Amino acid sequence: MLKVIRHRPVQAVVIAALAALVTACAVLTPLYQRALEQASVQVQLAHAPASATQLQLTSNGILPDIYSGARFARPPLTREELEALVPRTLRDELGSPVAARVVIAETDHPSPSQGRVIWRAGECAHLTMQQGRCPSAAGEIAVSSADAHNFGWGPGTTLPATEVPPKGTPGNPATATFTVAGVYAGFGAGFWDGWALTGVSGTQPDRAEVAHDAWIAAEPTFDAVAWVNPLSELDFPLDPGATGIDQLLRLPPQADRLRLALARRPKGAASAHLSWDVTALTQPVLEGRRQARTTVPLLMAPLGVLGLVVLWMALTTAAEQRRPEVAVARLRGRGVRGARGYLLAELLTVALAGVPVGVGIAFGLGRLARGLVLPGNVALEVRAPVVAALVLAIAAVTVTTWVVADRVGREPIAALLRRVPPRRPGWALGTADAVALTASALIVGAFVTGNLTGPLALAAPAVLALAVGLVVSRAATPVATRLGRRMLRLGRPAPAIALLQVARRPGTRGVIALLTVAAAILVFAGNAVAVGGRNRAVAAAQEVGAPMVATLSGGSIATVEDVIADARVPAGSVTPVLVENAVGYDEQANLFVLPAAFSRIAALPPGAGARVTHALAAPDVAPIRLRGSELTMTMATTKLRTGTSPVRLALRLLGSDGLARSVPVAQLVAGTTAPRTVRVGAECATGCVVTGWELATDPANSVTGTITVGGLHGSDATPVPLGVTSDWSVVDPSARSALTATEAAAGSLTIGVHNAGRSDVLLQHRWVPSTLPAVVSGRLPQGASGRSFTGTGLAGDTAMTAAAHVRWLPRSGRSAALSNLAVAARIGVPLDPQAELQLWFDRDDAGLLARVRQAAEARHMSVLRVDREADALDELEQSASAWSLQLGVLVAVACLLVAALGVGIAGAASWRTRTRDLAVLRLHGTPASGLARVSLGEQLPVILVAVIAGTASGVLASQVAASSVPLLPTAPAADLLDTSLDWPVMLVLGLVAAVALSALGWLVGVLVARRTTLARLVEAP
Amino acid sequence: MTGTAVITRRLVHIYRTEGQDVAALSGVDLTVGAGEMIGLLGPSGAGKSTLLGLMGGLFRPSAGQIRVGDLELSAATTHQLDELRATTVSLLLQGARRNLLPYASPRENVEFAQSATRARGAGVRDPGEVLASVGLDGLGTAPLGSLTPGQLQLAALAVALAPGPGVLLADEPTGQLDHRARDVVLATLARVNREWGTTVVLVTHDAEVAAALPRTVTIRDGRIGGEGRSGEEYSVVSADGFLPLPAHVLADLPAGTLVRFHPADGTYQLLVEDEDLP
Repeated sequence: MLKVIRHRPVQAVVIAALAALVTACAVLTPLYQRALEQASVQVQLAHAPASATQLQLTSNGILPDIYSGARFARPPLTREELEALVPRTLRDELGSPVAARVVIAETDHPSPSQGRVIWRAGECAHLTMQQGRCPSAAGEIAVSSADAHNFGWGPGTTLPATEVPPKGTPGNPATATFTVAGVYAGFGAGFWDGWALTGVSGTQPDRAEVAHDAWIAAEPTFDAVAWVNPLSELDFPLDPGATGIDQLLRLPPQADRLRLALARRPKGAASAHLSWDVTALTQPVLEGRRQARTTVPLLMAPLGVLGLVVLWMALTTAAEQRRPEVAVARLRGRGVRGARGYLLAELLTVALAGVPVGVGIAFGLGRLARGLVLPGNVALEVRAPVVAALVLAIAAVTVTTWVVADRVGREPIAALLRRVPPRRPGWALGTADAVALTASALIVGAFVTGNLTGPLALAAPAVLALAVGLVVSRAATPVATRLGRRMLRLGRPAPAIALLQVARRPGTRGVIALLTVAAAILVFAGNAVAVGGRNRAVAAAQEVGAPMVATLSGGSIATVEDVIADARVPAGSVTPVLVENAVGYDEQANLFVLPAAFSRIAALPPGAGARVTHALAAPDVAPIRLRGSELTMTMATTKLRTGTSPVRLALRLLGSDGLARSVPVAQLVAGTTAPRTVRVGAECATGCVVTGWELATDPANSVTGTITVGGLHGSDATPVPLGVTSDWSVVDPSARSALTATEAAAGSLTIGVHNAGRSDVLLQHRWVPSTLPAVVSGRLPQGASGRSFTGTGLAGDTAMTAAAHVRWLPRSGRSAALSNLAVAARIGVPLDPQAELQLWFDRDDAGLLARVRQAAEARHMSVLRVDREADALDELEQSASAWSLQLGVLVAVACLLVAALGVGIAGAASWRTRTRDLAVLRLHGTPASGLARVSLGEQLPVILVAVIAGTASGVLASQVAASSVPLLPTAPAADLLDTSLDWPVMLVLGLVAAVALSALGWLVGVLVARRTTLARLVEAP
Repeated sequence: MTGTAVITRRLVHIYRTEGQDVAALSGVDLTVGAGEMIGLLGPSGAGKSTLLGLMGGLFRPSAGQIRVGDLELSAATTHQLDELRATTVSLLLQGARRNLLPYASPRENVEFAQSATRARGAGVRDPGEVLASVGLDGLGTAPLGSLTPGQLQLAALAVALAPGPGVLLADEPTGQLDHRARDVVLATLARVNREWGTTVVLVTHDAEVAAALPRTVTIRDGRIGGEGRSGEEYSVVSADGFLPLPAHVLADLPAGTLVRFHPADGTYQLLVEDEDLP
């Protein structure tokens, strides 16, 4: 056997290498998938909040009831009692528990402030003390450096404190006197994750009480005082080093069982509450697993198929070269089985020798991918899927070898004895090709129509390429023959001979099929990588909204603008945004922005910036401004009928504090009255804007007539212009009751009154829009009528109009509305405490952020959170979908190499025959240059046709499979997925393949021509 | 070892190619006795190799019968044909290397050729003895590339004889050899025929080779054109009464000439139409 293999060592190496490639692809797929899943778990554990990575058991006892008194009060469960609630099987999956205790207390020193008092086991090791020491005795606390600065606390400061129990708790709250033992400047992020120790010092987070940062106390503090409502907590963190995907996926049902068990605790027992958002960990991991199981095979399977195709090519070439030997075997009495056995003895041995090499390559590539792509140091696990893949690879290699050997073994001896195997001319399909073509067409057809899912769907792109390759390869022979004959008739012998050689060479079909599949996979993989990268970038930008976003605590629109000014922000580089977040999945998020700056800074769909600016432009009406603590105007009525109840006229103003107010002007009398001067007190010392006139009366009282006002002025005697009639709008044009501006001239305004029974009717200045224009994404909320809908305004429900629609809006989900902040503020309502004030930066600038942070703290606001687009992109890059798609780079490179190998194999297999044929031409006088043209003509057209066909089928496969490739870790709520093809990438890759393979083909052609000597004619075959 | 007889009756073989059928054999009646050594002569395309291939069971005749020993080849199964080639009939292809495994030594080639025979339980000679019988003792382990063309042909002959066949079919066994090598090969064939009793049928274009054979059969246009025995040329009457004329007679009697057979003294005279009887 060794002698046989040593006779054609290069062939043996090539066959073994190709079998190794097939094996490597098969084994690497589950290996990489598993490593990817484990890495996904590590990433989730590293980035997930404490609410997901640790099981939190809390107990705050039962408070004395105001009706039942203290009889049913229960203290919170102790650490031991909490630990006993967790089943052993669940405890074994988690790390060592960490106990904690919390109360909320307030102090008046030097001014009222409240915050939490916290003890957590092992706390001192995770605090960086700036002054003093970590507390150890009862009554000792450590305060934050921000508190020390804001409130003047330091080591030795005594702070009398009172507990803040829940409202309605009877009895007196506990009191204690704390002594500051130290000041902490920093704390370990992992240990204190989720505790938010700092960030609220001196602020009013809910725009109510002033807060201070957390006070860190020693455990005895909680035993020394009879706190009314202390919280006892026991946290069981997950151990990242010991938590793999299998362990992680076991947790949710166990958590559910524990939750159920806690809910069934007997009445009267102290409360025990489980808080563990473990599905926030498992869902992304499961989604990542699902994506990896789609993408990894989608990329690796075609490469494996390609390897198998090239292996089939190499084996066919080898078997063809052994036809004379098979003939000898048949002539000496071996039957078909014996002939097949003769071939298998050598070819299968060589092919299977490549299998262990392939396993080694798979592990090597797995380590390489693990080092280059995956974070951490996940192990490469050999589990059942890896073994199954290995068995599959062995079966594929064996079956392929058997089929090739069987085909040659079955040939009649007379055919085996022919130097050139008989070929059916024309378009006739062999049985195997016909079956493959039919199966390919069925699979692709089912896939395109959406009737094919699951593993077979993943093979569709490769199958499509194979089908195209088969068709093109079959067409090559008759087309090349006809073209060759035409060239002969046209008197062009070199191209004619080249084409006729292409037609008669047995290897042409295999080369075409191989290069078509390789080019298709290259283009498909390249597009998948590019489209994935593009979508991740857009998703990161949409998720954060801008290169950097800082969320502030407390404050108002005016103070935010002051912070921007104080921080000396370069013009246009930072813009305020107010966010009313969506409450539920289907709810609409509302963002209030300054359109011009927002369009420049925020991430928006292409072309949406100009539409936002245009759609959200403020009404083109100048405001009517007044200043003074007293306003003066003239007022007259004409034919006023006031009905049976008092009728009052009021002037609506927007104060400099941003709040609207109604200033009573006069009680109206019936009939016609001459103009008279009216003076009213108004809090407009710092300036107001007139927003409307209001008529109030009792319900069902009818009022008609006209009112003329004029000469309105504040502290300066200059009357303000009241505009023209079109500057005033009826609030509800469909209502039967209305105030209308019938005449306006020279500073006076005539108001037509027609009240059919409403208690108040409003004539609004158009400077305040009656409905807020909005740019929307997704569907309008329920109850919308046409383009009108009710959105969440600055303080609650607000009438809005959809002025434009875009595919998606930044930092929002399925649907969102974008409105003009300045215009919305004209409505004059107090800010919703739940609304988030944010600053969006046009760049990630640490120095600028530091200045903003400092300016915010100076105005008793703090930066609660900073989100960066780069961090969001990093997180998306560290996901199963990204890692899976990045495999496409390896696949693309491997495809090109395998294709090059195929061209090389074809050249090596045929060079003797080709040089002999060229030697015949040489014998008949063809010069060397002509031989070179013939030799190159046999190579280059085949390569180019195949690469073009492959590129086209790769483009088609990309289009067909676009929706099957998971591009992001989770399906985005917003409609931002863009699966359009990356044409530049695909065309460049096609060009690269064409150039690289043509260069190799040129080299083979030149070498063949150079090795053509007349001696070839007398060489043995 | 004893030879095996080969008998053909009205053997016809037609090649079907793209667009046309070609009759390679048009009714061949031939009897090769067991242990006989004959040469098949004839111009290119006459059907010699086709007849050889049919005798070797490489393909089935289009019509007629061909019997090798007791086996009627036209009705034989694939298994029977494989067994025939393993035990009874050996084909020596034109071109020595076509009969040899290129990576194996002469001895290994002989062993390979005997493997199918051994698998069927038939006895075979020792490979060394086979090689010695063709004069290659001492070269059994030599690489094929180191052998002369004559030695290669002898190695191929050894491989053909390895199973101990009853019939050896040799296609141009002396082609591309110099005179000395040719003579060696011929002498070896004659010795094998004489000592082993192997029936030998060989195809040759070489007149000198043909002259050395005890019997020659000329194939012309798919039929037996004549025979040569002991230096004399004979025309063979076929079963259907066809009598091919020798080439030199054809030159004087072109196609369309009317002739009569006139009995005379226990034999027949061939008279052209315008000749008078004595």
